[in-house]
Amino acid sequence: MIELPGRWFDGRSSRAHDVRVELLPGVLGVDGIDGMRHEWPIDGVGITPRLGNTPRVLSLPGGGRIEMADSPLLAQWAGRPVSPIERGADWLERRRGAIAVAALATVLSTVVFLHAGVPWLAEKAAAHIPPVVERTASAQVVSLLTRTGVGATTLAPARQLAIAAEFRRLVAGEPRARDMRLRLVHAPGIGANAFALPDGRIYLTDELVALAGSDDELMAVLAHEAGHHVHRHAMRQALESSSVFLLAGVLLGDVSGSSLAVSLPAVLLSNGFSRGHEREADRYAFALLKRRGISPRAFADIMRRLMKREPGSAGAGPIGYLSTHPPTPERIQAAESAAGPGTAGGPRRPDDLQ
Amino acid sequence: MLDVAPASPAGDFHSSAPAPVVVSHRPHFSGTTGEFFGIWFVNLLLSIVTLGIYSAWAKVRTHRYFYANTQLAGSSFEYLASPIAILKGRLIAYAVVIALIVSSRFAPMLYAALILVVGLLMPALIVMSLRFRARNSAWRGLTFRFDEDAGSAYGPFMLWGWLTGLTVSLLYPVMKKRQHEFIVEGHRFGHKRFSYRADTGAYYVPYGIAAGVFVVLAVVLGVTFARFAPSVATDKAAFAARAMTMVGAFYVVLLGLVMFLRVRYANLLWNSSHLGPHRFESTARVRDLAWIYASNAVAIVCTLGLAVPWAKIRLARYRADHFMLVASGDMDEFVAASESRPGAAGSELVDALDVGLDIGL
Repeated sequence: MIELPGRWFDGRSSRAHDVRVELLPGVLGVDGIDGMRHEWPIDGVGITPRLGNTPRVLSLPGGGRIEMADSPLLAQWAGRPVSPIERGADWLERRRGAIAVAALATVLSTVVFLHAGVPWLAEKAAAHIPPVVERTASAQVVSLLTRTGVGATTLAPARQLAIAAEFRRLVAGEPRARDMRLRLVHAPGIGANAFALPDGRIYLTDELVALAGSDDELMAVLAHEAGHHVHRHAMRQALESSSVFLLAGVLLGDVSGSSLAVSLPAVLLSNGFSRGHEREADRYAFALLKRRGISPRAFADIMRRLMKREPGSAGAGPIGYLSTHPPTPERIQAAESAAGPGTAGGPRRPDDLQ
Repeated sequence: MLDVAPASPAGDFHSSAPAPVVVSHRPHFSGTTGEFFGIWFVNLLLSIVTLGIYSAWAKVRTHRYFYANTQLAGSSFEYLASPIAILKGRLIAYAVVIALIVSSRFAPMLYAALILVVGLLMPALIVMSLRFRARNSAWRGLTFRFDEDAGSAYGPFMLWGWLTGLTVSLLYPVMKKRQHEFIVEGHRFGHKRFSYRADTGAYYVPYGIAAGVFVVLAVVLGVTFARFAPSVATDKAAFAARAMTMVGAFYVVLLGLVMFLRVRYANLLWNSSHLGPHRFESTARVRDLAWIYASNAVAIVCTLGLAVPWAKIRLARYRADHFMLVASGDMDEFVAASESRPGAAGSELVDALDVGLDIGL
């Protein structure tokens, strides 16, 4: 005879009745409700899922409830089934070994997801962002630039036209080339730099024009910035860093992202994504330069000049994202190996390709 | 779990003429760190693996664990929320957060508008979350209810907030009192409504102490700064070190004051609440809780978070040990409210909106 003690509540008052619960095939019998025995078909009776050592509660048809201690006898529950999710959770919660294995698997899958999953999703999503969002985001950057003292270029009109024409030739026929518009600016506050806005505007400062040893070097920088636009890096970066913030918030239970525990890993991760984008833009630039008959060595040259001029900084890139770039020596080396062995050593010969 | 939804049965004191027996019931908390660790850790893992979807189940299991391990007058509490309702609430909350993050980057005007809307909805959201928590909390087979409508929360939670701001916080105790009154009197257990009786003066005592300490602190720091500033003004490093120490001291004391007010006001809330002839006693002490919170924080940081279950169990045990239901008479005579009351016409809408929202109060 399987009998368990419990306390019955009728659901209408807080009065407790001590009862004995009997689990029979197909029937739940309860003895002691007002001195009587009641029976219910078992398939109409629900039970709370097992959780630690907490009491189980049976819910009876008609609103009654029976609170009782957990018992191994309840393992063969024949009434309304409990949620399989909670049954699985309970199984795992009681097994330290399984928890340890699951922890390891979780860490691994998180790393894989952050490394591959988030960038992949961001790339897919970025392609569907309407251009109006890119324009709005760019307008914000432009107003910021204006406030930081970015003004009209001081280059001679003929020089401006020459650079613009060369840039058009560089990107002609490239994907998304229609949106790319070159903006020459005088920016003493920023210095020698170039950057791409989400909507395709590419900024090139007079200071960088002055620093470059040749137009090929300028084209190398612009090819890199064009790469950012072709690959939608601005939007992807925004999506990636937002999703990392959100993810860290979800996992650590702080969705506002205000705590250091959330923001620190999120910032570190999003800088990691940014470095990946820089490498992608570099690779794009090298391939484009080669197709236009310019040696990627031009990129290495301009990076060297930038490094020499500002030894502390990592090189050309959007404002504020300087620390988000790969180390300059690595980028120089990548450019030189892209240029191929034919040009290794010695001064650059722009016309030795193709 | 005893934060807002209290539990006690109330005998109907009109029916029994002889003086009822007064019995004090202290909640017994029986959760253990070892057991809760497994639950907590599995919650964390499954939430990560399911990209946060499981967090709704995690919340339900955590709440159920703390409710069910809290026994009052021989019966455990029950947390009844369905994970799906919580998941819906979370999805809405995440959608709002995503909209906020994205708009803060791309559309500042939209961001400002969203912040304004969320701010204006906050009192309504507080009511929704109180309502959700109350109806999903049960004891002895009866559920709690919170049945103030959303509109009436705008007085205590918005108007009084503005008044407090306009008076440089001088009306803060009145605001707290109004909010407590609103929360407590909005709750029912079964058909019995909670009542609230407090003296505004009592709310000014902790406020006065906190304000006094704050003023003294400001004066002391100001004088100290004025003293050392000229002597080390030339030595930048020494100046920075001193200034940092002072800012640090300022924040530690400020944190202590915030904690002090929270504990004292929580005690006031409970000690001013009644359920029929029954009342409550909350005797949490500021220094105990300060120690618990500080040592919990140190333990959590040192164990990279693994001490969280221990910290939570410890806090729940302290709370239970410093709470008391002073029952006057029988605990068996609470009766469920009839749910078909007139005037509950909007309840379908409420049910449609009845999603779990996490709002810390």
